[in-house]
Order: sequence, then structure tokens, then C-alpha cells
Amino acid sequence: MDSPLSTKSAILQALIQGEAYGIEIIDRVKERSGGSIRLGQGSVYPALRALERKGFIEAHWGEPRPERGGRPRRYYKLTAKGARAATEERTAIIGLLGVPGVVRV
Amino acid sequence: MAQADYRNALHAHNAALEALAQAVLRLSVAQAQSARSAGVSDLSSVYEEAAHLRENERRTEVARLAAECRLFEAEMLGWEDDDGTDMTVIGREPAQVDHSSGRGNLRQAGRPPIRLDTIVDLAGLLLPVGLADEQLGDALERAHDRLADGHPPWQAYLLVISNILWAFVHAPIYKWHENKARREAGK
Repeated sequence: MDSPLSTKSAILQALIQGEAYGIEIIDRVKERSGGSIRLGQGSVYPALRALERKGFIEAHWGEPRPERGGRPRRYYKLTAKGARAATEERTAIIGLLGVPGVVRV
Repeated sequence: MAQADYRNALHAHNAALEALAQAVLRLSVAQAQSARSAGVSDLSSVYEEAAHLRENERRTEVARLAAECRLFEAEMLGWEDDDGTDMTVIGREPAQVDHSSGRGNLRQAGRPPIRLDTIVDLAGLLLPVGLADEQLGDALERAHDRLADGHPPWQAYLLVISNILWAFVHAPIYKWHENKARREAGK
């Protein structure tokens, strides 16, 4: 990822929109950043597991799917702690960029 | 063969093919067999091949076959029978699929000759189940999407193989964390 935003931060921001699985998160970040932030598949999964261990996100397995060779998808969603962290981070980034109308705490 | 007969035969052929395609799409072997027995005997190799393809691959193949039929039908409908006499069609056949080799058909449809699933399944034997299901499953899903979008097969291979390598690199750390979590849960 060629961006000052860390992979974990990007994942948290992507999950604000709702639960998603690995490649969906990658696509979401790419789409929301207009293609300027591209997460590598090799870096996303370790970051997801680290976030899960820290209690920022929680995961559950979906149904087995034929296009995955009968493997299930693993869906991730923000926990309350993760949602708080994501919101604070978003406010901080917007404040850092000096977007008008945002109150800095 | 008279043009009208030929056109009727083509319509029947097209309808049977569509029925077969729909049945295969619904992943129902039983329905596909009934469509086949309803007069699509010359499409047996298509059926055999389609039955072994996964959903995304099926969709691509079905779209290709249906497009072939529609194209040919459009050509046929544009033909005139000016003097009202029967017109014999020489050297024109309804859309045909190469029956000689299943592998040839796969290559023609832009799919890799070796199944990606097999590579992932083999790698999955050596990796922790959760890691293989998640990371390799995602890689396989994306690879199938790329093939369905018409990307060359080497890109799908590259994607899957690079993910397998990454999964092997991450496997010891994954296993270590898994064991640690298990130990903590046991306390």
C-alpha cells in the first residue's frame, strides 16, 4: 500500500460501511479512495487477524461457496471498540487535512 | 433441406441449448439430464464439460454458447428466399462446439488447462484450515472472477500462486497465534 494510511486504519474505515470479507474490504478501500489506495492480499489478512486479536473487529464464517472450491467466506465487522476507534481516527484524519466545518477536539 | 425446415430445426436446437444452459446454471445435474434427453443428444460433450465446471465458469460458457446460437440465428433470419422455392443450405451448420476434445474446449474458452482448484486444494493440505479457507478461498474467488471477466489465465495462476506463497509465509505465525489463543482459552 503506497499511502501514509496504515492497512489497519484502511480496514477499519472500510468496515464502517458494514461487514465484509477479505477481497470485499480490498475492493471497498480501492473504490472509496478512487483507486489511490490498494491493499495487497498479502497484507490484509495479517492485519485483519491483528485487529481481531485486539478486539477491534469480530469475524464469523459464511456458507461454503462453489466459486471458492467449497470454502466459506470469513466475514468481519467492527466491534463497539472498533467502531469507536474508526470514528475517532476518521475525525482525526479529517481534522489533520483541515476540512472546513469540522470541529477539532 | 428447405430453409423453413432448417430454421425450425435451428429454433429447436437453440431452445434445447438454452434449456440445457439454464439447467446447468441451476447446478442441477438431474435437470440437465432431462434437457439432454429431450433431444440434445449432440450436445453430450457440452453437457459433460459444463457439469464439471464451477458456477462462474459455467456462466461464461453458457453465455458463449448462447451468443453463438443467437448470432447464427440472426444470420439465418436475414436470408431471403426470393423465388419462393426451397433453398438448400450448403456448408452452413448451426453453432457447433468442438466435440473432439474437452481440453480443447477449455482452452478455446480461455480457461487454464489445469484447474486452479486442484492447486489450491493441494496447498490447503499443508496449511492451517482457517488460513486456507480464508486467504486461498478469496484468491480462488478472485481468480475465477478474473477469468469470467476475460482476463488471461496466467493472471489467475499468478494471483493464486502468489497467495499460496504468502499463506505459507504467514502459516507459522498464524499457527502460533492459534495455539496461543487455544492455551489462553484453556486456562
